[in-house]
Amino acid sequence: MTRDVLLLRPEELQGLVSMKEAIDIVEQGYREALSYPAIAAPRRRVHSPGGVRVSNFPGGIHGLGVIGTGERPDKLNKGGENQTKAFRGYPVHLVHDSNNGQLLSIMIGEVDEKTLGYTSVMALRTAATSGVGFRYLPRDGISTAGLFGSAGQAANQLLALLTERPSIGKVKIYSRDPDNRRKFARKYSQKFNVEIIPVSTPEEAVIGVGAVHCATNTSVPLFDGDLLEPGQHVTGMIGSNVQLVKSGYRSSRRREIDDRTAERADLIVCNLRETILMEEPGDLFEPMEKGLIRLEDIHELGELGTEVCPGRTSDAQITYHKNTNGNGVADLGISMRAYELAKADGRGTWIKLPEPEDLPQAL
Amino acid sequence: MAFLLLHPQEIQDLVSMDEAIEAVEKGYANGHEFPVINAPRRRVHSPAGVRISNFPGGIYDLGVIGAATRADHVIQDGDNQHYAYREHPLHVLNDSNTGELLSIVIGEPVEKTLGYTSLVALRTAATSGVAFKYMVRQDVETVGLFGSAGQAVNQLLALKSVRPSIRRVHVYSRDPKNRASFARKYGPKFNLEIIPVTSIEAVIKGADVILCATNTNVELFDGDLLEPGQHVTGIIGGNVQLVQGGFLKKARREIDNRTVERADLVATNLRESVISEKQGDLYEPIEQGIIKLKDIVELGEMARGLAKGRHSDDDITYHKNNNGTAASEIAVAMLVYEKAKAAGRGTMINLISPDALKEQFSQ
Repeated sequence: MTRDVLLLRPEELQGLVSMKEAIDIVEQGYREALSYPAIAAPRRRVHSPGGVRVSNFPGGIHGLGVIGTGERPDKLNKGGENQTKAFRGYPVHLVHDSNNGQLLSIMIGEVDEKTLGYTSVMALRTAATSGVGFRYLPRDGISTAGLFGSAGQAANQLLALLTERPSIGKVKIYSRDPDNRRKFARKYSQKFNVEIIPVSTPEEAVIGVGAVHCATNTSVPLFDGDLLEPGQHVTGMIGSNVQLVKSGYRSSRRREIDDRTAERADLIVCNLRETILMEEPGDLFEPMEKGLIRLEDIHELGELGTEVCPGRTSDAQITYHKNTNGNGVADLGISMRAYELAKADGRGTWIKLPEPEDLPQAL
Repeated sequence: MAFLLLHPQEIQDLVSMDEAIEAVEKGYANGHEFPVINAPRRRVHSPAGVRISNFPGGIYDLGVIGAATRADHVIQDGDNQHYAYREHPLHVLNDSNTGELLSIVIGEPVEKTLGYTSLVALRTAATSGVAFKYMVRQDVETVGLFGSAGQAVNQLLALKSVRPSIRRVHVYSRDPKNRASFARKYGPKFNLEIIPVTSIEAVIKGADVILCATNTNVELFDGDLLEPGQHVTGIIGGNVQLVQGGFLKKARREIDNRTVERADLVATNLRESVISEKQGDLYEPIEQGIIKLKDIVELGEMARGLAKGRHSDDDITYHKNNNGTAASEIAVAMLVYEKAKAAGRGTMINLISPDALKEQFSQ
């Protein structure tokens, strides 16, 4: 007996999943993991002396019938104030049925947002994860946002924010290169139908906005937390792992958001608390070490919208979502949706596998 | 860009036990020298009992980094563990210098003279084999064997590969028919005198090496039965998530606390796994103060000559082959890939380049 498994390649994963769908899926993933933690695990990274890093994302969403793992290789350039990659490999997702363990699909490539297409590494899932925070943390009815960064992550993160807070009409964007921020403003103000204003200092991106969003490749803090105003929501998305320091790739942990922000925030949310101890992401681990915040006061994404943590409870709170990193619960959920849509659309190549018990047995 | 897709039926007759032991030894030596290249196995579980085991890591001496993934539908049945379904494992292999995808190997690498016997039997036995080199006396003749299925066959072959002086085997398993048929089949195959025995005491008394190769959830024998000079190998890991997920009431055991207490040398594959998975056979004695984590030797330390292994002929030595990690999974899969490629097997799958993808799909 044989059975068919769907092999999907990078170009076959394009144009399938919307930001709204992705946010719903990621929310379901973290929510289910709250009541059944054994289905979730933090990302784990391994590194070769040659500078190749493999990120591994096991997890699933039983409500969507999926469990499995994601694997993504890249090769990093050393050190510095920004992280750049010498090689970016396609992720490989191994999608299994969570009811019987059967392999459904081998997916090679990124699932990109259907209206944005190919942009940056894991941009849809990263933005959709921020999107779960956007659902519960920014004030209702905010009309402005500040954005750091002007590449693929910024486009996806902004779409996630606009999806959850359509009241936003004006976005101030800062990135180091004036050309890049102007180009971003031109392209995406039309595409998203909002006013996007390039600004020339980090301060301008923070002052007077309802939500501050960081979507850069920095390795050092982007702004001074003292600039934050009551009622603002801050999202950071750099979640570096301490193994980069241990393996000599960096001399210190990556940062993006400063200690002062963690100290001033009335509510801090991360994706999975276990990650903070395992990867020691600087933005949360270092303020913890200094006694500015405590692990038990940091909420998890899955708790948002539940009795444990309804989300923002007053207009004056400063809220802070450290989108520590992607996890399998998000990746496998989005992969499952892409698999179902690709299959319905007749995409991919079916490969025949024998059933394990039909292989030649002991000689 | 292209990678080699290997199907289960293409990888059945490629790797010998000797080759596997050598590759796994490199894996643990590399992992000890450059620890961020390896990681403990991590498992996630669905509420329906599907378990995904993940093995991220690499071996730079073999030029590989990646991850292995295996899905099992696990049924806990009192004192034993069964599988309703065992999916082909998947191995994603990347070049450890460039990050490029080399191969996806679907299926279980098996020992070429044994064929398919049991789940992950080759790499489990090859891992025991690394420890046999350093822990078992040189002149051993008699083996006590618990278990009569695929793991037992492979473990015995690994011991024979490393200690060809072995002559006779006392085999015990719960079902008398199984131990009799094991003796009939593998006596001639391995050119050994294999004697089925009816009691646990008969396995241990007078044996030089005691191999545990069963699917038990509870201790197999009383450590007080052990005699000076004996070596004991246990192969059951068992992760705490099985308890957290409600599949087992308490941690799996195979070897008792008394064995740990009496052993002059205790070795394990990766100390980090003992803690991260709270594996009963070592974690519980640590909790009870019978042994300290730092006194447990790792395979990589023996492989690199940093720890001596057996000190005297009278020592009782104990290797808890706590579980596979990438150091074994990816090492053996890399051998499979290289041999299959040399034999012209498999299917090359072309992948669109990221630049071409960007050209076509950025919106």
